[in-house]
Amino acid sequence: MSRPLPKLGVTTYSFTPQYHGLELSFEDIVRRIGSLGIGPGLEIVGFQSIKGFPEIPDDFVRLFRGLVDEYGLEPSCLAVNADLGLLPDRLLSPQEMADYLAPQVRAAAELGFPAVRLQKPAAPEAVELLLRVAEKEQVKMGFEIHAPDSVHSDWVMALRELYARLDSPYLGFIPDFGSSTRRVSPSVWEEYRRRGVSQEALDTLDARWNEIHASDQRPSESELMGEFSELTHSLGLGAFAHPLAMFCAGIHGHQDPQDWAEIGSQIIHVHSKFFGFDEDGDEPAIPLADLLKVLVDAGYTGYLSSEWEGWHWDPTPDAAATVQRHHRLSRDILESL
Amino acid sequence: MFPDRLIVPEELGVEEDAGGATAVTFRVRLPWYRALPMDGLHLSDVAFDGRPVASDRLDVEIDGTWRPYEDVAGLRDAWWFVLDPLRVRVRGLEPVADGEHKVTATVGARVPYIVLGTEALVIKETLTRALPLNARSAA
Repeated sequence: MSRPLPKLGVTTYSFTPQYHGLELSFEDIVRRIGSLGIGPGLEIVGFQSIKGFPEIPDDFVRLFRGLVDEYGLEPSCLAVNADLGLLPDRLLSPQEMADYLAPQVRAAAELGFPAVRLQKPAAPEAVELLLRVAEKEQVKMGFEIHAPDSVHSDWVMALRELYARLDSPYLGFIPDFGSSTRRVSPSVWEEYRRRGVSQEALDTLDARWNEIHASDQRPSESELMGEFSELTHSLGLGAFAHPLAMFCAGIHGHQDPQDWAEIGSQIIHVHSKFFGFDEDGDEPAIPLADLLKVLVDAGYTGYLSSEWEGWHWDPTPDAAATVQRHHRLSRDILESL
Repeated sequence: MFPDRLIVPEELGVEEDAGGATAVTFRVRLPWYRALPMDGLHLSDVAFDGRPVASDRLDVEIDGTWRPYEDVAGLRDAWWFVLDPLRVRVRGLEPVADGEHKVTATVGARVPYIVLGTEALVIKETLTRALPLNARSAA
């Protein structure tokens, strides 16, 4: 008997270049997702898609629910933001953070999302304060673990302890596959070669990333960013120094795919991050087959929200077409497991 | 993010300011993917035809009201939505002739969920763009 498998889906964040460029409205994007069959899971970013968020205008609720019904989509996750630096002069306290996130959790319930994506800046104390809201609204809260963090990062370990103590089905994690890459996406190097960066400079960055990856060292986010910033500046990359450092340090993580098994039962949603494809249709930077096997072995049957982020360096490809390719790849792998 | 979109490619607006000098207006885009707090707006290195413009000669239009740029940091509960261009006014210019004018601006905002130490990250992008002015149609 075949094993139950995760379901496919997409986040509208994948369409950021065309949305920001005013080429596609939110409604256009959801209609493309529905008509091309790149759901059924549908994830949106509250502060991106809804003006006035976390207040939800009535006409948005009608539009959203109507589109979901029309195309048979399934709201999977509402990405909310833990805006710790909301105020210009100081950081939010845990109580203020809980109060700030509560309406965002309620917004998820109002739109029919079973889960919200939380971010690292929401402290464990804030989550504990927020839990009763999530339980009342029946919305699960999942912390996104994003590159360069891993299941072993200090803040994730603190949450794992908190979860063990609170033991609530409304608390979980959202792996972002960018935490478990196997190399920097070749599409980064292609794009910056096209922009005139020397092959020697790109090779130096690639070699350093691979060296860190092969070692047992797992530098922190600030250490990685500091190191790659220094390296890109020393290579004289000018305006390209910051983005290239960010792509090496903050988007391509080093966690072993197998490590997701440690939190397998607490995974409530997945950001199936991808950047681009090689000639065979594979994703060269993301070990997708390994990752999906770990999830299936862990019994995960939730959504794989395809999240295309190659647009950071090349915004020109059509987002829908790239997600279609990613769904084909994901489906082939799942069928082979 | 999306630095090429920072200054909207469209005609400059032109008006006479309170002191009888000329003001021009243009629109800028938020260089980020989601709404950000308006009190974290950053405008710097603004230049018109290569001449630097001090920040006390800049206004921005928020919810239909012009405000001095230097007052924006004191606003609360205002957001810059990702799809909404922000209109900027440069005051105190000499009369401006028809034709193309070079506008330069660094535009940014505080990203409140990316906190480094005790401070939120401020993202910025810079662009110079030639914008056309046709005083008759702008008036």
